[in-house]
Amino acid sequence: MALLDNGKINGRQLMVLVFLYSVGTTVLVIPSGLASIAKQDAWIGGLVGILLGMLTVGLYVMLWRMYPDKTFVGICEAVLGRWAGIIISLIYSLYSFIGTATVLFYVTNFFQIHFLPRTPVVFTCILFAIIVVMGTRMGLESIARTSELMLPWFLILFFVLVTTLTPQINIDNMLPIYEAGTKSVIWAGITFAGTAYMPMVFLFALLPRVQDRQMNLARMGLFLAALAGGLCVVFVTLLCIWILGPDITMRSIFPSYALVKKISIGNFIQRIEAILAGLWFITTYMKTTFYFYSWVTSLSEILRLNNYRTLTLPCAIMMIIFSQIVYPNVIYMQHWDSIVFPPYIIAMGIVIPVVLWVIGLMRGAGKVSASQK
Amino acid sequence: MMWFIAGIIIIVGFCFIIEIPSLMKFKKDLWTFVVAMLVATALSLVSVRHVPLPNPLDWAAVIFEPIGESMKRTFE
Amino acid sequence: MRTWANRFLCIVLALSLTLTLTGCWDRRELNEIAISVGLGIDKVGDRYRVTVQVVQPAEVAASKGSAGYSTPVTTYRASGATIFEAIRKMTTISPRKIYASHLRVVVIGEELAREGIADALDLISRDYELRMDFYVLIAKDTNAEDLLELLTPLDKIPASKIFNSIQVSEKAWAPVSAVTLDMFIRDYESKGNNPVLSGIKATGNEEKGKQKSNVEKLQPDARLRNNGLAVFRMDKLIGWMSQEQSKGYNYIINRVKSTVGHVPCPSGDGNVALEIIRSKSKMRTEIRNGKPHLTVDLRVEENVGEVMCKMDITQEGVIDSLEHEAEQSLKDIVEQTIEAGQKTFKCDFFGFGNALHRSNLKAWKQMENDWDEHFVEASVTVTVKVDIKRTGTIDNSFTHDG
Repeated sequence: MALLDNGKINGRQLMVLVFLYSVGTTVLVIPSGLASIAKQDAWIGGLVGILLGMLTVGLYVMLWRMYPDKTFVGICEAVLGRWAGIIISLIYSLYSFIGTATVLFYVTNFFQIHFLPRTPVVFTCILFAIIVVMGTRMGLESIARTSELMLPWFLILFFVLVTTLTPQINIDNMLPIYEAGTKSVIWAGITFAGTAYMPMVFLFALLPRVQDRQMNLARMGLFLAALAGGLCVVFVTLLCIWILGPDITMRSIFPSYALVKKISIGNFIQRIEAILAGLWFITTYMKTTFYFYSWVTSLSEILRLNNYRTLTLPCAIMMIIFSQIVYPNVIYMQHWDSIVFPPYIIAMGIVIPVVLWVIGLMRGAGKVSASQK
Repeated sequence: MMWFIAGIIIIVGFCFIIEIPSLMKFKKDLWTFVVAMLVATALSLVSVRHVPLPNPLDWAAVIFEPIGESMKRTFE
Repeated sequence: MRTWANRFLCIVLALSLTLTLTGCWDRRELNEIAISVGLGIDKVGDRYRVTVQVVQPAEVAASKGSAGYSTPVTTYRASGATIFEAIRKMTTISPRKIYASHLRVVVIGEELAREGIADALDLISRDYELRMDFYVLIAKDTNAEDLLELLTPLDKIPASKIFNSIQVSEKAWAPVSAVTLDMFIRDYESKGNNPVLSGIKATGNEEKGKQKSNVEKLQPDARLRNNGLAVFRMDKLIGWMSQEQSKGYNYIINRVKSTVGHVPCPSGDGNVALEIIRSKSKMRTEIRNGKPHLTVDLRVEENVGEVMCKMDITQEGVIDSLEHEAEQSLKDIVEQTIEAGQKTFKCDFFGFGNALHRSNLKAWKQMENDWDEHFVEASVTVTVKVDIKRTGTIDNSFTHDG
């Protein structure tokens, strides 16, 4: 499927992309969800989520090994045949469309609440959409190199965040440990894995482009990057519990932002929350770009277009329109995210890949591609 | 209202100008683009007039909400 | 990026993007905002009366002294059914819109505090412009409105003065405690604790205190002064702690950084002032025979600060007896404070309930709904250990030999 994106990314770039992608919007919204389920054990829920996530990533890696040069759409068609494959691919495409609209809403909602309350939301949407479209049109290599450039900034800001907040930690806030009980912690873990790890199924659009001399290391790198991303989010959650307390974390819509508002060193380094919002900006940009990229490329593949770039502009317009429709208000958003989203993403993130993998095994695909190496 | 519609038409016009030259070689691409742009334009004009558009999240909720509720209950 | 022209163009384009950083609809010009530093909330009938203390930048920045046009701050008042409405109404009197991000203190009138302040604080926790680093105070024996109109020397902005004085004295004088909004919310929400807020009082002639003449004299007519701690049950004010009780409270919850106390000399003809350098307290709640038992373990490190009697410090046993005296006096203070909590206020505002929650989950689950009643019947053990390490730069006072 020559989609005129001949970009190649190597294993290291994949790691950076996966890391920033898994932190994504997770770090913005998850601490609140985890705290409302598990109160002060939110971080334990996060750790459980990382475990579940590693299993999920393992599933994706196995599917990737089975069909190393096919995108998700390609895998669907190879495994299920033309017609069943197209149906599943369309569902996949629909999922990435919904994902794009929702993530764009998250980003612009965040900016609207805290920074630009009177600006009509459409304009922030358009601005953000322009950079997402630019990134997608320029191709995978550009996006990968940009993420490599942005990684040091992320790390510096994260380091600043952690060091400036350490004096305010009150460890007692996380006691008593495990009050929430196993069930709540597992449910919290499922929510976590659903937001951070299962959307990685949308990265299948770029996995075939990973060319590295040592593919095994690249695959290991994927695991490590996903793990690192999850740990970052769990650590931020832990900081929220330690510093804000489980109650305020549960109640805030963006607890990590409330967290950075508390930074105050010597009455001098204060009020730097806008700078740290840059952290979230980097990661949510990655997530939005990849959801969009996945949508456009999967749709192009289904329609057998010559160039995925054709669809970028119309899709961008639809993305902006639907980002306004998708969540009519914040309460709907919270309800949908906590109740509908987990089974929704498990269906696409686990059920369908498992089905594909099993059928692929039965067709002997694993053996075939292994012998081709 | 007029400004919005004018704005949309200008943006759509831009998109066409940017894309059409490169699409001349592949007929299929050209037609897909045109169709997609028409859909997008129609949607944007409709949403400017505040007509409620179908929300894909509602479709997902129809299927997944009962599952989600029972999942939540088993884990509480 | 081959040519310098290209690069130059790119740099120019990138820099021109910063023109948009101020936002268009959300631009806020400095001369369009009224920076508020203090917020006062009272209730009259069932309408909220809101007072906002706003900085007058020209006055504060003037380097020519206070021979200015007017006072460094001014206040605006408005009433409304909700606080949000009242603040917006202020635009009818104020030439600019109130900008609350730099709020230093929120003062709540005592009357409103007795009725319950949770509703009043909702706006403050919800609004995106506000942060959580300001102090919440209760105005004793007066309205928030009158309190915010007093002018203060040294610090031109009274709200800033209040903020700084609480911040500084919290570290230097045990009975003072600085409570921010998130601390209040946390204590309010937990079933094992009740909130405590700092009080503030105006001493002297309030009416004269509102005029510029107040700060033009050496001895101002009216001053703002921190006044003990107010105890709340949930969000209703139920009483004030005395100075000793406030001291005990801060010792128990481990918020004393440094303070000064005194004990009588062993020779009996004066006092010795002891400076507390470090204080660490451990609170524990256990269950004995089905009833809660509260334990407070204090470890305090002190220095001899002032010797006002004829005492030979270098003699053996003198330091020990001073330590013993200090231990006894601290123990009395702490025990009296807990007793006041049990008998006078009848609610747990120390956090012993939370201590039980942390250590013994099962017992807590049984007691959490009526913890205050269990607290009242709890038995108490207080142990204090004082270590006197140093005596300043001299050992015996010059009065000793004379």
